[in-house]
Amino acid sequence: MSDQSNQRCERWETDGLLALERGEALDPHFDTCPDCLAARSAGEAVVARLMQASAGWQPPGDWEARVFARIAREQPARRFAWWQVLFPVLAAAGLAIWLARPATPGAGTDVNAAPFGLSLSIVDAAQVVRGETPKPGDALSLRASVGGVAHVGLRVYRDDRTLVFACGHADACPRTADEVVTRVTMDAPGAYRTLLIGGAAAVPSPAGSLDTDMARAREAGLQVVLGEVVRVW
Amino acid sequence: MLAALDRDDRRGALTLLMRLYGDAIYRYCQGMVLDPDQAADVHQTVFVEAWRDLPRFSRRSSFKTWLFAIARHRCLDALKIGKRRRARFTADDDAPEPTDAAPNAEDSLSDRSLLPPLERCLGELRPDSRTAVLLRFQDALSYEEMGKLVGELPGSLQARVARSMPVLRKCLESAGITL
Repeated sequence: MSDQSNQRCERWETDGLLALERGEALDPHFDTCPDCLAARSAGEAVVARLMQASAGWQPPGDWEARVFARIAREQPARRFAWWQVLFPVLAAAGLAIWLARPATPGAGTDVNAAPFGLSLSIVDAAQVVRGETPKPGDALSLRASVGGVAHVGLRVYRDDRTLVFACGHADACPRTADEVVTRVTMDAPGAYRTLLIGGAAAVPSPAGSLDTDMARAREAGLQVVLGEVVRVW
Repeated sequence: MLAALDRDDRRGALTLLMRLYGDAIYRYCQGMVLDPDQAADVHQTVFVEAWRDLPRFSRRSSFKTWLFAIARHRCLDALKIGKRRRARFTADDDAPEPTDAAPNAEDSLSDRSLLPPLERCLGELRPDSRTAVLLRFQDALSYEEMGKLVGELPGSLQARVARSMPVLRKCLESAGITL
């Protein structure tokens, strides 16, 4: 098309193209006016050029492998499996030291003699313990040992900032003499952490963030147990 | 695909998605960011995100529309990051705001003379117009699909495509491309 054609048949570019994109019937003028036919043909050539040129845009040959490599890097549970070994060992060692310590009644604020701890597992809708990365809709099955502890609070946070479950303040925790057992559905993706608080003093009301609530519990002289991170995606 | 998802075979489902739509998503990314390295990075990010979100895929849209929606967001993010980087190195902060008719900040990518004319001319369109043109002609999406993908009415997209085509034509002609 010549330079002059830029000025030709503006009506095609204002009305004709829009009608074409809307799938409307074209004004018969566009089928008879030579300038409009030329403008229409140029428009079709633009589309052809676009398709022709972009057909050469191809991803790098190994892109699928790179995607899976990135996925593997971003899956913390599988990359850091050694934590699953190290954590129980350290926990067992800590428990042994704690049990072997001399009895010092009245020496501090944490004077509860009963074991105080938390275990958690992941269940899906069918209550089967999941061995894979949890998905939204799966649940945390929580079991806290709280024998002899007067006041108990249990909380679950998503990404350390959103409180998704709390008991022990406004709502009493579902408690037997020795245990609190409950189940919390993880509706959205994120990193879920469970906080168990207990002791002789009343459990402070939740402020909403994990850090703040842990600090408040410690200030109140309560014991604090933090569960492992469960990532949902 | 759905069968793989129902079997909880996320890897299998993603592999299938990559085979079916990998090339089309790459072409879209390249057309949007106009830089092969950046396009490759964004393209991979799209499928990493797809992996993450597959279990939550609602099945209200097609896989194709879903992937293009992810790609659109990531391409716009990449363009914004590029714009911020360029702004950091631009001394004149009082430069006039770009308009639709003139190349804007995103379009400085098109200043590289080695890019083919078509890439330069695509760069003359604003990102939302570029998205509309690419989805319409390169990826052959219907206006209904495009509307769902970008959250706009099909009529608005039709008008945007119709306005963009003369811009492309004039640019290609001025670059010496015979149409």
